[in-house]
Amino acid sequence: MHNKKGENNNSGNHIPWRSRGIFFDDYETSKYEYKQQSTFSEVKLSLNRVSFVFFIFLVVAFVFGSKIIYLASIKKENYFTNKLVPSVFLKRQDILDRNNNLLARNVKLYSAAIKPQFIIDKGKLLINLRLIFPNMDMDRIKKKIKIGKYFYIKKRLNESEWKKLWLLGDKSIDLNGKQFRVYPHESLFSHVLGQIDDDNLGISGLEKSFNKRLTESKNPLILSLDANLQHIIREELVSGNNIFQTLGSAALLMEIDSGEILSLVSLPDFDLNKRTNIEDPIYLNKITKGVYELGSVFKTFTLAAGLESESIKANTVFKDLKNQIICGGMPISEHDKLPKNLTAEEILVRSSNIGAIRIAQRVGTKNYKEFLNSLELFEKINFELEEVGIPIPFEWGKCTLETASFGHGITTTPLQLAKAYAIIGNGGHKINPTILLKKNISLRNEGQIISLKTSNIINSMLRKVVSNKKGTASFADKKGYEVGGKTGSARKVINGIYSKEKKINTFVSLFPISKPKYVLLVMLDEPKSAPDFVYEFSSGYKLTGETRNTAGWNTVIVAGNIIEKIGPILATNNLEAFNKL
Amino acid sequence: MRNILILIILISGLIFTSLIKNKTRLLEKELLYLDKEINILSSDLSEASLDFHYLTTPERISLLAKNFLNENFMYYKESQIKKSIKPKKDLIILKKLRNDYIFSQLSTSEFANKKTNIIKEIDSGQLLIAKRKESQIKKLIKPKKDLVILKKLKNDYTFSQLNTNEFTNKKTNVTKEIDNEQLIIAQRIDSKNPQKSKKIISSKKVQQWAGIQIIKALLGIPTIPFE
Repeated sequence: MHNKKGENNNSGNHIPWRSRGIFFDDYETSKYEYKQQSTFSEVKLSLNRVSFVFFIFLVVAFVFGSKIIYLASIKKENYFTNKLVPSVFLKRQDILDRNNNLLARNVKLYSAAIKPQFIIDKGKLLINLRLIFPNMDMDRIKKKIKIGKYFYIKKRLNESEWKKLWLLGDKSIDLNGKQFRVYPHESLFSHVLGQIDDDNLGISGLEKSFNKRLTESKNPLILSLDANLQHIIREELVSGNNIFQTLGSAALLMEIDSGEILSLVSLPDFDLNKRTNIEDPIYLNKITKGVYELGSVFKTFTLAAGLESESIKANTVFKDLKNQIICGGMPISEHDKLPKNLTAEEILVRSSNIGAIRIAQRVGTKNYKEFLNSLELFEKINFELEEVGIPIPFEWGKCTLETASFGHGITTTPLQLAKAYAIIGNGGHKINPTILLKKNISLRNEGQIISLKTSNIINSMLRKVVSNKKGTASFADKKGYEVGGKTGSARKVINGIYSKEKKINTFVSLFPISKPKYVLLVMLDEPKSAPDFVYEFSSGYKLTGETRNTAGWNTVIVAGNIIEKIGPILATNNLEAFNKL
Repeated sequence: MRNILILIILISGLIFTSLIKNKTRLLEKELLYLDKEINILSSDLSEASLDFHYLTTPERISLLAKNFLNENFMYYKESQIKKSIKPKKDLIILKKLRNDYIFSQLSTSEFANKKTNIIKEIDSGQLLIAKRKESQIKKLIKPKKDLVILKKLKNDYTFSQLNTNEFTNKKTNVTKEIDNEQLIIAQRIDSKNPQKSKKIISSKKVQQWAGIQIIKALLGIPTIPFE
């Protein structure tokens, strides 16, 4: 394609090819042009390469730069703590009370195990183990070594044991660290906190119901409970159990506006650190899981239903009240001899069964049923613990209204009873009991169940149950705390028959009644009369021993003692202290 | 020129990148080390706080109190306390606090400060009362006669400038003046504290002794202390 001649011609008389028209040769590039062009393209190429390399470096610098900015901007615990340094306490979060007292914490403890295949000198190992653990069963160890399988010699070593074993430097001893849950208060919160298994998974109580929260959250779980109040209440219950020889007892202290539970005790309890298998029904959480007939404490609801439906007034007189009536072939009688004519208020103060029946009859089955249902006494309560009892279902038959009016034949849990009393005491606002601290946010936003007027009348009546000399709860009249409440003594059902001796005695109190803040429920399971106990009346009169086994003679005493001791902690503005009495 | 500029940027980019990367690596190392330290410390803190919470559980404290304290703690109502003890300084403080403030609205430190201030107030009040009492007592008990005479003489005359007659006359006048004054004072004190005044001032022996002692002192004769 190249013509050398042409090339020479072109070189001799160099005319720019554009001005000569179009020839085939013109497509050839002249030497000069080629040289010029080739130099230019080389520079261009090298420049392109440089730009490319520059671009690469720019990209690298950008990557590193962004990495630096990223490292500088992120929170260090997200990047370093979690990825590079594993935190010790990740498996389960702490549980705290409302004052940030520790109730449960995971700690790393060591367990000692033997790997038989690594044993060099069996005799020496056994001697060393005997020196460190003098009480250990060496025959068992020998047998297990013979079997040749990995086995634990001791779990939860203390620091000195761990050190001694570690200093042995024996390869056959495996000291593996494991997280264990520690409960500093031992048995104080046993029914609330519940237990966990060996894999740190909750199996009962809050440990179970908040398992996900405790394992995934980075913040501790703060409860509404108060360790100091819990301790005082437990001590008083234990003392009451000893005096009245009970099978068990329980108490619940709750704020009536927020529904926050300050104390929940059920006795007998168990040491959470021992991790025992609890199967005996006596250890049941009596407050949340126990379903009982609670007796005369229901009369308050009968009165409230009467007032709310305007069937009665506080001073409505019920004349000719018999001491015994027959309903459905079964006799219903008074617990004591009472006057024949009583006002509605006196019916509650003196706990008249027949009077309560007359009020309920005025209210009518439909209204009464609706009223009790509005208090949610007969359905499963929505609560944080899984151990929640379901009230035994019943049908409103021929005599149900009459028996229900004084708390007979209907069951509920003490937690639901306390909730219903809180609703009545707080002005009729619906509340939901909770065991979690809600930072004092009032939960009064779920509707009104009863009117404020009815609430005030009932509160003043409950006060009279305690303050009136003829009231059934006068032993709880602790000066300055304005206690109001209602007693309930119910026979226990044993094998389908009402027992004559075994009772559940309950006292639900509200205080200070002029502006109720707390509801305290105390329940004694199968109390017995205390022949040696000295009853101190407000008049100063002392009575040693009492054969009557009703709530007024045992549960009220315990509740009164509790209020007297927790009152100063709760700072309920004791009227006596403020010279208002 | 452009190429040089690009090269400079390139080289400096290279240097800076490696420098920053190196610095970052060192920082990461340091952070890792610090994090490890923090973890160890937080683990120690966790164990210590667990110990603290265990040792301060209400059960344990009441158990320790039972075992090691001789005191048997009892619950008392305020009315019982009021009856058992007479009003003391503490009760005055409490009353003052109660009148002025509502306890529940004060924090612990505020309460402590208030208490300290009130104690100071009460202490200063007590001091004031004591001073007032002292001045009242001083007013009641006037300086003794001999001292008064001496003072009066000292103020009015220069002993050395007087001759014996002049001195005797002056002295007689002053003694008379003092006697009159003393009589008035004695009457005044008698009206307020009759028993005390009689014992102190109306004793003739003291008057005579004082007079003799003053004369002795003036004449340069040694004085005998009064028994």
